[in-house]
Amino acid sequence: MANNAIPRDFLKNVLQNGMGRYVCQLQRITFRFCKSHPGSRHMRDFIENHLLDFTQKNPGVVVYLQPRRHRPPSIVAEFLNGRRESMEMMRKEPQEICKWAEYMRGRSGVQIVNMIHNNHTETPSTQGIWHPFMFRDSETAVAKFPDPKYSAVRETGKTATDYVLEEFNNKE
Amino acid sequence: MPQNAMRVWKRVLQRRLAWHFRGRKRNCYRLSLGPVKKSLRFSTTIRPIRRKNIYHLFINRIAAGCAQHGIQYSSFMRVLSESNIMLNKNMLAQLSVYEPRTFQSLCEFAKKRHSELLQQGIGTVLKPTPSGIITRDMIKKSV
Repeated sequence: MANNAIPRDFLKNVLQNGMGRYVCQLQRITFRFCKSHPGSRHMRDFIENHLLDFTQKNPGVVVYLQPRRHRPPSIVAEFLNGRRESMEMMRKEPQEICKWAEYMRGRSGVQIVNMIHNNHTETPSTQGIWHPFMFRDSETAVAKFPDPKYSAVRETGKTATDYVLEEFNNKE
Repeated sequence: MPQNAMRVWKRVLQRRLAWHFRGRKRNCYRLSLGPVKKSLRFSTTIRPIRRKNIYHLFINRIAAGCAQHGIQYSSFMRVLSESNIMLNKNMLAQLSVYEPRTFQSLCEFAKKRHSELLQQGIGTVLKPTPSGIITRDMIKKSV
C-alpha cells in the first residue's frame, strides 16, 4: 500500500502441509560467527550449549557452522521452495538465538510481504455476487426487440405534490 | 578499502525503489533520484485522498444498489441511522455486491419506514396552527 515498489501480496497460508504428513520446510540452517571477535560471543555460547538440543529435536534439518573471520554473527535459513533468508544475530542473547532458530524451523519459505487485505475467503458471497440481470425481468432474455411492451413510456410513481394534495383532500 | 564504499549500495537502493518506473529513470542512478523522492512523497500525501476515494466509492455502490430497488441513497441512510441499524458504509457496500438479497430486504424496510416518516412529516404540516401564532397566510393582502 505504501508504494508500488514495496512488494505486497494477498494473504495466503500453506494449509496443505499438515493435511497428510507434516514436512518441515526448513532445508538447512547455517550459523555464521567469528571465532575470536567479542560480537559473536553469544553465538559461540549458543553453539556450545543449545545447538545440540536444536539438532536432536529436528533431525530433518541440515545444520552448518560457518566461521567467518572479522564478520558479525548471523543465521541463514534455506527453505524447500528455494528461498533463502538471513538474519543478523549481533547483540542477541543465546536464548533469543534459540527462538529465532525455532522461528525459522516453523516457517514455510513464503516471502514475508505487506498484506493487501488482512483477511481472505474462498467464498465471499453466500447469496451469489450481484450481476446486472439479477433484479431484472427474466422475460427480457426471450423478448424480441423492438417490443411494444419494453418501448412503452414508463409510469412515474406518485410525486410529492400528488401526495400532499391527496392528504389535503382527505383531510377536507 | 575503497573511498566511497556506499557507491554500490546507493544504486541498489534506487533500483529497488524504481524498478517499476518507465524509461531511463528505471536504470540510471542520477535520473532516478528525483522521481524516487517524488514517489516516496506521493506515497504519504495520497493517504487522505485514497481514504476519500474509497469513501465515495462505497457511497456510489450503495446508491447504485438503492436505485435498483427504488429508493434514494439519502433516504436509505437516514432511515437506517434513525432505526438504529449500525451498518457502516463499508459493510453496506459489501452487502450490495456480495449479498444482494440482504441488501434488497434492507431497501424494502427502508422504503416502508421512509414512507411512514413522510406521512408523519406531512401530518405535522397539515395540522391546524395552534392558538397564539399568526402566520403570513392569515394576514389579508391589501390589493
